[in-house]
Amino acid sequence: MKLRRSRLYVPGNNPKMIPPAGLYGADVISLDLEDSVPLEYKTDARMLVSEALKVIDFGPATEVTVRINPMNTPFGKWDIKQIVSEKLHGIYIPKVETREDVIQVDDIVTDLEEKKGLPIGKIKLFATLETAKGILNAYEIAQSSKRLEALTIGGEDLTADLGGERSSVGTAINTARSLVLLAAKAAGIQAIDTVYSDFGDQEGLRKETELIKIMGYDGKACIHPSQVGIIHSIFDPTPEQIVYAVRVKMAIEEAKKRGSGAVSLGSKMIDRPIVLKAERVLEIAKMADLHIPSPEEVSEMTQQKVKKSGGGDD
Amino acid sequence: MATRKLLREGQAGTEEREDCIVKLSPAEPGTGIKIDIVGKSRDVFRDEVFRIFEDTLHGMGIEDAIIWSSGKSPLNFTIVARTKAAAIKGGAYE
Repeated sequence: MKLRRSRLYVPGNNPKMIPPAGLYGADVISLDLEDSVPLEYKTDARMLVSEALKVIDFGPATEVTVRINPMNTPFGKWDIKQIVSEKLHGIYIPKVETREDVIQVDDIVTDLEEKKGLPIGKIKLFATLETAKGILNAYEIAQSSKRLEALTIGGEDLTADLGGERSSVGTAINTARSLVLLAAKAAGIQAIDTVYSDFGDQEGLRKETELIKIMGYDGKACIHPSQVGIIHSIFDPTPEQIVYAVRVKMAIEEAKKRGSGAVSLGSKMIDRPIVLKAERVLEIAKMADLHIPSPEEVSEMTQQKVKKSGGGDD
Repeated sequence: MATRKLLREGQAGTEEREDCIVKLSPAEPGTGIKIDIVGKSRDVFRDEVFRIFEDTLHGMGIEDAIIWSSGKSPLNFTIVARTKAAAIKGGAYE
């Protein structure tokens, strides 16, 4: 699993915004050739992003991706031909409606990787579903390519396609969110949520991110660097969650030593879903470089807690 | 390297900060690359900017062109990108 809590859009025709894009701590940056670029600047942006990919160091922890133009426009294929290169990690394909939309990009990328001497399969794909048709084909799309790492949802275009309105709680697109999430998880890939486009409304962003995290989403797109920290603060496990996950792992080890199949933590039974959640918490904490206390530290914390409360644990 | 010719005027870039506008026009064969720069880059980084224009166009197989450029402290990759985009818009690959 790769950490993709935040995905920051960077306008592809803005030479001032591209070089510092890796400095804001986003897990993923998406140099954008689509919506942020007016028609008359498509060639300018494509060449700017292409040159930036050659010389800009976005940092070792940043996944560098490009959002191309839709494949049913004259620009999509040219975008791919120009950007496939050593430093590109992935391509976001907008307006995906069928599995063929992904396969078409996969074929072009494979051909270019061969011609340019890049490892086949190095460049990952991400499909953005932002029409009713795309949403209803989500599972088929999710299984369309081995390169596909995530489904993402495009809230603004989807709302327009549905004839609804974006709201602070995202009511109009919540069914679509559920369908995309189910399709992605059933196919064993990640699900990444749409942008919260009012970057001045931090509380709204917080609420929406909490909602999609509870649903099971792996990350959220953002349009402003100030949104990155808020999104991370919600996706990162809390210190309490990390300690609990370590305690779950400790309880499992302890049960194994005893040769016991039944695992409990205090008076609570630990079943498989709890173990899986604990493993996920620890995996995210490790990737996010958060402190994971050792079993000894956790034992010490537990003893101190017992002393303070003057009673038994759990 | 295939030799390429500009078929018409091509322009790329914007007037925003850290960007530049590059305008390329076709030139008579054998006349080489003529460069006219407006803005801060003209005096401070003249030689380096000239070299970037020439290397970029020669790298594309273009030997003759008239360049007009106005910039607001663009980085080198921006100058290269805008020059290539202007050449593509000028029909160099048609």
